[in-house]
Amino acid sequence: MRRAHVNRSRGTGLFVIGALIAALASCGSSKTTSSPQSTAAPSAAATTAAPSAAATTAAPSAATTAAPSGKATGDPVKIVSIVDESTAASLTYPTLRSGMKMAADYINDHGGLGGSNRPVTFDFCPTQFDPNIEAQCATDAVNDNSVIATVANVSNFSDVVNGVLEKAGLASVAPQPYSASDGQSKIAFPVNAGYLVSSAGMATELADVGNAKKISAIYVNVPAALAAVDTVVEALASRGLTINKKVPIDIGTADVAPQTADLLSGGTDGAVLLTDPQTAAKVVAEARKQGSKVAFATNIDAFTPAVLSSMGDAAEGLFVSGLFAFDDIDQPGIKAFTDALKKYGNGKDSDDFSKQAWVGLQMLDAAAKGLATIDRKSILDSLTKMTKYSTGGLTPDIDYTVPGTLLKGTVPRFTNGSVAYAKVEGGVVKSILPFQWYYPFEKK
Amino acid sequence: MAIFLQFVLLGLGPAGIYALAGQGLVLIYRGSGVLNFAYGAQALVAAEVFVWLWQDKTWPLTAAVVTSVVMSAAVGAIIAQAVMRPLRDRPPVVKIIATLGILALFQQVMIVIFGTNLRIVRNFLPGGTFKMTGTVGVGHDRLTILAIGIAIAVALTLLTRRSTFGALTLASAENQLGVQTLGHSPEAVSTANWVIGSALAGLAGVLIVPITGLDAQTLTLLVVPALAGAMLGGFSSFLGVAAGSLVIGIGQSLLNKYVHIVGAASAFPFVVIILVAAVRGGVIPTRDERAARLPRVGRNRPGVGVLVLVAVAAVVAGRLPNDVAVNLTTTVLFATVALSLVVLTGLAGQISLGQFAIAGIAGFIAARLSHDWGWPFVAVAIVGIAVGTVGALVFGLPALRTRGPTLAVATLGLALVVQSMVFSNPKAVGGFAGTSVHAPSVAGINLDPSKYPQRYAAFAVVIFGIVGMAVACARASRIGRRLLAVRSNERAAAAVGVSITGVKLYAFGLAGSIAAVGGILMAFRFRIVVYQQYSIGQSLNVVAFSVIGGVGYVAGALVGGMMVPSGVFGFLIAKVDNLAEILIAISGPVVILILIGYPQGIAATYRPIATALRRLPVPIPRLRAREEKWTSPARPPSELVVTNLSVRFGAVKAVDGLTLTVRPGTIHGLIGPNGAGKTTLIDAVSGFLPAATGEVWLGDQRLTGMAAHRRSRAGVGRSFQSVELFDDMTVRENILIACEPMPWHAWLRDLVPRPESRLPGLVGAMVSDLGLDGVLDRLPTEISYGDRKLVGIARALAANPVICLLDEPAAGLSDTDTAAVGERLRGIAHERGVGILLVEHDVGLVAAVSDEITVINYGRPIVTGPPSVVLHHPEVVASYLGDELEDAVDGSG
Repeated sequence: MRRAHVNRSRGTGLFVIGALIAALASCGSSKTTSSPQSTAAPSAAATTAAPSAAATTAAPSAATTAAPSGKATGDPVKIVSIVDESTAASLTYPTLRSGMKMAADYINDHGGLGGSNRPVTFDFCPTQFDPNIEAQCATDAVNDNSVIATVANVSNFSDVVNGVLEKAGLASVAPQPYSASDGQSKIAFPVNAGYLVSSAGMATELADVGNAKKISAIYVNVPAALAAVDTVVEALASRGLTINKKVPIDIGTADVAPQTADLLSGGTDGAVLLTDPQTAAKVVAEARKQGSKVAFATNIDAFTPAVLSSMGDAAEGLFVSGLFAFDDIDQPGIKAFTDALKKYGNGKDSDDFSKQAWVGLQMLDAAAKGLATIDRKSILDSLTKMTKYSTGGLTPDIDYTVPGTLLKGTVPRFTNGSVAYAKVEGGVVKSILPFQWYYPFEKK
Repeated sequence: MAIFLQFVLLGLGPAGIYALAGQGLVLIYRGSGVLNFAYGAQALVAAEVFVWLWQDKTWPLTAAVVTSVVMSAAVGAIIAQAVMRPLRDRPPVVKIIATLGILALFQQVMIVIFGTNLRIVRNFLPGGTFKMTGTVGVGHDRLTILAIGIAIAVALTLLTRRSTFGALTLASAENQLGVQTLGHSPEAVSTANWVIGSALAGLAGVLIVPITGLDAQTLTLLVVPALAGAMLGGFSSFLGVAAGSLVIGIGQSLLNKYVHIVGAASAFPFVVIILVAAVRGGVIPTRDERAARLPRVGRNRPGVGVLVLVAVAAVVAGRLPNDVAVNLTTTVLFATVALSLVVLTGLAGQISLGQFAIAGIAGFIAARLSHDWGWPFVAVAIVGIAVGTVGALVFGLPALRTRGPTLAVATLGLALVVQSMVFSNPKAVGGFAGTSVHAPSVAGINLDPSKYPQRYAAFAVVIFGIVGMAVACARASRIGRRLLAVRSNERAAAAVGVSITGVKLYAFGLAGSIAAVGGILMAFRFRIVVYQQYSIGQSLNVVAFSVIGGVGYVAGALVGGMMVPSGVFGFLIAKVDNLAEILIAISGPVVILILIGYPQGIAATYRPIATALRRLPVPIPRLRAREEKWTSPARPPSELVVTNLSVRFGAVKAVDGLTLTVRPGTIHGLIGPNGAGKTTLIDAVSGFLPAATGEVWLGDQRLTGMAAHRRSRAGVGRSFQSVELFDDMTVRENILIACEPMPWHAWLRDLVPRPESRLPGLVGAMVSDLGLDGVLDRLPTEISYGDRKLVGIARALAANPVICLLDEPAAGLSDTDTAAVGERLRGIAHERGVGILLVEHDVGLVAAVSDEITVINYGRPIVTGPPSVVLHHPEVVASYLGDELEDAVDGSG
């Protein structure tokens, strides 16, 4: 009798332990619901933003259309963001989370989604960089009938996610494009072409602004980075250049000196950093330590203010390519974003991820305007018909009715192939002026 | 030339880092036998604390360095006492997983406290550049680190060779009981090594952080090249580690410059390791190499009830909601790959940290065939499994000459090679577009997982059931006995005719084919193949979760699959808001607690359930067929002729020009003082040691140069001085393995249910004569020492040998038992025509039963002849027998 009791209690304990260990890399959706009860007053700046010069819009724009005032009090609508966050891989997207929260708070304080008086709630589903969990996240989103769309997904396995979403007709709004599926799936509504174009933009920025002629690239040994090297080659061809050196490096390389020396050899006068942020920072720092003044180019997300600060002078002159306009540009969409960041966020989390979340929810808001019923089908239909949506200058206008031509038209959903150029000066990222959008794959 | 020199010099930078990092790793291994995967994480902790104190809190440099290193040493002490001490008697693989738990814990704590941002750290090492020529140079900071690494290697070498502490460490690794007998505590020795090793980890972290930057990933991964350097140093030589690190650092630097093959530089250390492993080590371990303790294995034969259970599970899977079906598929596919470890680690005792790489090879081949050629699913699956199996055999090659941590690192290295050169190679995996696959279908049934997740889940369940049945059948059959024999004791396995090489390769091949099945199903799970699911992290995960589930049990694989983060338990946790995030932080300690609480795995804990089910009033039908009948092979009597045999250990001749003949139907006694070379002679005659000179013939068959298992099959049986039974098998199985036939087709046939084997009549009679009937179904660990000795004799004689070499069969037996054994040996020799070479310290027994006796000393023969002559030989009396003579002659009576 006593033995039976021991076994039973041990069995219960085992279940609990099993549940505990399964959390090794947690597959749970981490619900971070924006507060529909927020009583903050609408941002005057956001509601009175001047029209964008480029706004010949068919679709409404949050930044260009006066938003209804008053907090939303109706039945909430739910969105999900599937994000490759992994504590094991030290991979988190705090700025994306900030962007999502401030965008939802903004909408909820301005009459709800599409002015329907229905507040937006959202869930994050961290995938732990595991395709199986990605599939689970997507399936969970599909199974929850209250979910009307996924927004700002950051998925290295978007083939997996989009495959599930397609079956249910659930839109993926403003995903961070990582795979061909993001440029091909009819449920995908990317607002830029992601790393493909930002990588190419680094190379063309070195050529266009840095006047570099012998441009080399250092890349980590993963397929995405190797694919990015190909885009760099293609982009350089549009400027009449060929790549000087292609130098591979492993993620987590302890001493980057040999690779850096190789990168800088052969007359290199400009270097593209197609690596993880940590490796990129180490290569730049090592190059400066070796006495090199070669120009480097990276993307905005690689060098956070904290990293720039710890690099000190080594970061000076670094060229930065962004998928969205930088904060120092006088555009209504940027002002709306930065105001919302101050009002609903910490005022600091401005980067391409927070802007992606912001633009994604604003675009969803625009798609919901005027809909009799807000559900996944009506949202998908509305987005599919969206033409010339203005982000208020954060990006060029978005139009999903005209297929994109990047990569010889094989990724038609990538309708925006632009990047913005900037440079680190005095430890701060500053736009290259006069501001304009650059198209790395188009001949200059 | 200048460029070449430049990159040689630049290679000194990483070389110094690896050399510095590798020293503490080796010290901990030498002192505790633990392959510490948390070593890089320990360096990270120290580096984080150092940067915080020095840069953020503006402590003086020296104070910050000393505090960080002391703290790291304290952490080492805590690990030794709180984690490794409770696990001290656990298998090495369990300890490895515990270090992975520590790694997870440290990573989580560091992220919570310091965040994930990279920090560039101010350089406090000497600045400037050493210039060899105008453009050829290397930073002073790199040279400083290299110099410190070499200085530490020298210091540790002196410490371990010339100090009491070093001697105790070495002794503790060899014989903990002996250390205790000398009045020292092996635990204290182990803890001291952990403390010093951890302090060195801390020092490495602090010294290299200005070069690596304060980056959790880089510092944690530092353990990988450090392991490579450690392995090149044979996990024992500190100077070897430094030299190996130089080879790796410079080699990688040159490869980066001159070889533009994807992954070549990262693969380089492990290619070197594998080459070194191929040169070092031996097919059969030496007498001094202790078999590593491994988790318990299941003993149940599969029943019809299991088939019913699988069928019911498949039907249920076909009716699940989408989300549950998706999760079940994840669970079962992981469990399928975990089954491969039940074969490889659970049954065969081999460690592989690369099973998911093998799964990925199969998935890659199948996917490419589907994508490029449009082959149907079944066809690509067959080819994929075949290629995966061949890949697994390549993974198994290091196992032929290496064991334990060396094998673990070698397989990890091979996995890294595959990951770097195949899965990360865009040309191989289809670049940006990836590898799309056609939806799988079997027998006209569309299994498209995106359209019919329930069907795919049901299919996965059926496949797991079939593979699980095959593994269970293998365990209960001749295959299982051979796998377990190799796992338990390679020397004893070779002695009963088991080919160590063949069994290891078979285990890797079978396990590889199982992993391949899982890998292919994973590949076709998504319309574009996700190669990240075959990462090294997954290979480590599958080992961890298999051991936690119970790596010796088929059910353990399923439990492991349920516990994987994307498995059933994770699915349930996800339903509870915020619980998962809270639990992430404590996942590391949870792993360690489970390992301490359930060392045999969770499935082993539920053995009482299986027992209870068997005792139900309505018995679950079992797959029993009629008893198979066979007999031992009949061999004509032959004499064993040994001529001029010599065996050398370096400069020492253990056997020196020995000649003797053992005739059929006789007993030839071999006596001599301790260290005379008796056991060495048996080892050489039975093929366990190479002979420097001389010949060994069995009748007209030349045995010289023949492998041990072939000599056994030719008719040379042997027993061991230290018994060396297979502790994971029952006494019946211990004897069965020596006498049951194992034709080539049995390696396939026994994967399906087949009759239980029984002992053949003659062997059964011998077992009865030896009084072993009552212990046949017990494990060797459950019987008396005397009975163990008798089982050793029975096993040696069960194969119906022509010649049997018995090494002290009566040691530890009572006088009565000794007499009975002597009687029986005489009977076997005279009645069955077996020639017996009897090595025995009990001169009375030797004199009583032997027809002829050879006396040896210092490896050289003194005299050979009948007992009455030999035992009165003056030299024998003077040098060996002395007062024993009278007793001996009385005994020979």
